[in-house]
Amino acid sequence: MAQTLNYFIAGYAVILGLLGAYCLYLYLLSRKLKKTRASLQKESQESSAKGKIAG
Amino acid sequence: MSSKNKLLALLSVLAFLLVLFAFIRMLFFTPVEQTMGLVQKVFYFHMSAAWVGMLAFLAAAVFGLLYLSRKDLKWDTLTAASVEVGLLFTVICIISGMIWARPIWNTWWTWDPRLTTVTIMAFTYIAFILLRRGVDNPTRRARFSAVYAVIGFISVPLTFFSARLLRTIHPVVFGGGEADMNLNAQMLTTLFISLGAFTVLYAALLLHRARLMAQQEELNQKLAADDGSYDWGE
Repeated sequence: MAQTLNYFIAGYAVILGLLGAYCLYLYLLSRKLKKTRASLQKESQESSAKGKIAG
Repeated sequence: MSSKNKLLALLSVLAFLLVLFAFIRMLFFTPVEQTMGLVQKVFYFHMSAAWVGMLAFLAAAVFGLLYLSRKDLKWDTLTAASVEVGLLFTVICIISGMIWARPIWNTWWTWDPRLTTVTIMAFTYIAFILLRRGVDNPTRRARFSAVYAVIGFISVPLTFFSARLLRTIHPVVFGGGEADMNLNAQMLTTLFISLGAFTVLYAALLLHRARLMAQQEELNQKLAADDGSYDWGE
């Protein structure tokens, strides 16, 4: 039987590594979107409060 | 948490457990192939990645057709998400195939018909992602993406049948006649479990990516209404 353990490990490292990296990318993007949405909401609340004071 | 989010979370957990189960089964409960040794076990996830890649491009073409007939931007989001996820699985398939080929064919790469057509397929969809980014108008972008996804799908059957119709050294698992890989019952069971696990994983990743794309688009529109679009750093 051919000794191919190193290639077997390399193969699964690539497969699981790429899948993990993509999941991490999705998680980080989701966090970034949440932060942006929160800051947008805060900004719009502040501007509407300013509008009320000015009015 | 809304019911849609709950379902997506459930699907993600299911996908993770299925992939883990397939991995454990491949590792401990599937015999080692006598000639190739342990590297043959890369084949289970390699073929599953190839299957899901092609399935994703088929789904993208179907979503593209649905966009063209209904003009609903949600189909465009699904088209783009499916292409991105499909490309991920195709890249996994190509790299794991190269690692398998090194000890078996004694080379990382050869311009065999199957390898050539899968490379053409991958570049077709890399071009999809790059070109899509160049179109700002959402409606024009959606129309372009839908037409591209439908036409680009030609590369998928070309890849699938290349190993069956042309002279190739790439093994054929099913329907290859003499060129069939000889898999015993345990090996076949592991293969089918891996195929199922990767299909569920594809569905989970597709829905996650589509949800994030829709949120990105929504925020981009809000930001554009304020003072210009936002760079998401992709």
